[in-house]
Amino acid sequence: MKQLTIDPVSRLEGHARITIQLDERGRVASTQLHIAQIRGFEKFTEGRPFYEMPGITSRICGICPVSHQLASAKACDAIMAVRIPAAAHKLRELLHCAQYVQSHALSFFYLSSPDLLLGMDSDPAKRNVVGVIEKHPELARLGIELRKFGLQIIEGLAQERVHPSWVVPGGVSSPMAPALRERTLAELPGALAGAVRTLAFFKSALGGFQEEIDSFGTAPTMYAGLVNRAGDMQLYDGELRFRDPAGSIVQEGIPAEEYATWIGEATLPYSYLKAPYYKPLGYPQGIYRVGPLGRLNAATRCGTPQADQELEEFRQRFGSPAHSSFLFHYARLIELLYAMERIGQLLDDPEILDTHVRATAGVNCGQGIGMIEAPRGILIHHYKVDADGAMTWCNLIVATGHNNLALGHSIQQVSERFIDGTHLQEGMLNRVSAVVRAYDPCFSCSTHAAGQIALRIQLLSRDGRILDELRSARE
Amino acid sequence: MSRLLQRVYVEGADEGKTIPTDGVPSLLKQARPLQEFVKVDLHLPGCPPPAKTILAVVNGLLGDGKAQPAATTMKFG
Repeated sequence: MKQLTIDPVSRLEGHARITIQLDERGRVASTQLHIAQIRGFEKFTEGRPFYEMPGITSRICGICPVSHQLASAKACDAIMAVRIPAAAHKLRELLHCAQYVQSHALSFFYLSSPDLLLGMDSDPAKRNVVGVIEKHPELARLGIELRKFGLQIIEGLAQERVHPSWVVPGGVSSPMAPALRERTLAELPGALAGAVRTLAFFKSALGGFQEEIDSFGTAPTMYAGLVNRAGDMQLYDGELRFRDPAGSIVQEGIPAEEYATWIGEATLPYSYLKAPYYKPLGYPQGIYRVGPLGRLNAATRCGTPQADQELEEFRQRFGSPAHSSFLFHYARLIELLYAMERIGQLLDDPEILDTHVRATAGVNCGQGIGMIEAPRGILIHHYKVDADGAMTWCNLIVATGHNNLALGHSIQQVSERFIDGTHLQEGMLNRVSAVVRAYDPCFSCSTHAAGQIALRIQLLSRDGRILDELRSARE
Repeated sequence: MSRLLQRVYVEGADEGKTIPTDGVPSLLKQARPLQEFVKVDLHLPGCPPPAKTILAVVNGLLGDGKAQPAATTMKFG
């Protein structure tokens, strides 16, 4: 028996290693995804004042700091037992939509487009964002422009692009400047057109990826996402809904406070990333997926006109629920469009400029739970405090964690389909990495760990000798 | 460190209550600062350092080769 190791997996956030066991005939026997890092936010935050948590947990991730701040602030709102002012609620959602735009654009253009535009088997030395800029300068520029649009809204509202301190327990620290609203509304049509163009381009290229669509994690699972009472997808606030693999709603209307009744966490012996599961079905039968594909499958509709039209087309083409994890890319681009449309709706609401944006209170509850849809899926912050508001306990369930079991299955399927151990080629292993990228995982977030962008694959003999190794160039 | 692992993987789990050891590295007792191991020429404060500070340093290096940004950019907050 031989073993392949991909270490580190490149073009994703954080460190991952994949081991692939081959049998005597060079066929894939088993695979494992190892996440090799943990920072320990659950422990070292003990004793901190709860109102510092949005600033501390923001540092979990440089890509989605806003999502952590918002989940954290919602947990703090619950500790204070306040309902935040309506304008603050809308401003937080606006900030989060802008975060979706920048994060989804980053995932698609910077991390995944090299595989999609240059080809899974293209020269790995050029299969990166620089290679995309060389061969497809128009699309590369579009990606940069879309990301900039999102980042400028974040900077305009919150003064800083990364780790701002504008989101506070009880609301936000300052109202929206009318000039920012005007400027963003003026730029929105261009950005919206860019999102439509990206989606049109992706759909036109989809025909070339039939093999990937058919083999990139197609096993049916449950899906989970936040929706409102009408079933519309919700990015900032909503209740949890689970759909079964056949598409029936098995549970919905779950508020943040009840997450632990429905979501269990399993420790895997080979990874620092735990695997959440749907509790009523137990582990590991309770496998479900979150993130763009999970959200679109869980929701009844998006709730904005253009995104809903695209969702309709998506469902006609791939069914509802759609199971292939390659379609995470497609779903992500529909959400990019949704986030733009939602930004327009929020800016058109006169209340967005209201200056009452913060509620104040002390500790009124011994614990608080914040639940939000981060770009990569459901994010839960659960805090317990003493009477003085000092943290005594903390649990974080991060988006990528929910997909841990599904990621494992997808890696197994892609490995079985593409890897021939007697004739190893880089493109085979790149497909294993590419299916991981489709999920757009954030392993830094998921184990709340420090890391750099990277992936490595090793071929080991049965006795553990390294027979071959592919190490991705650091990008 | 063992309290952290115990807290997350044993107390913080409903299933498989064990500390992961298979194919994952054990953790070091402490994180040590970079400058204890390599010579660091310049520290840029901030998480992340503001874009203007980074630009000032790069421009300094491109100009007279001295990466010394204005003192006003070399502070937190």
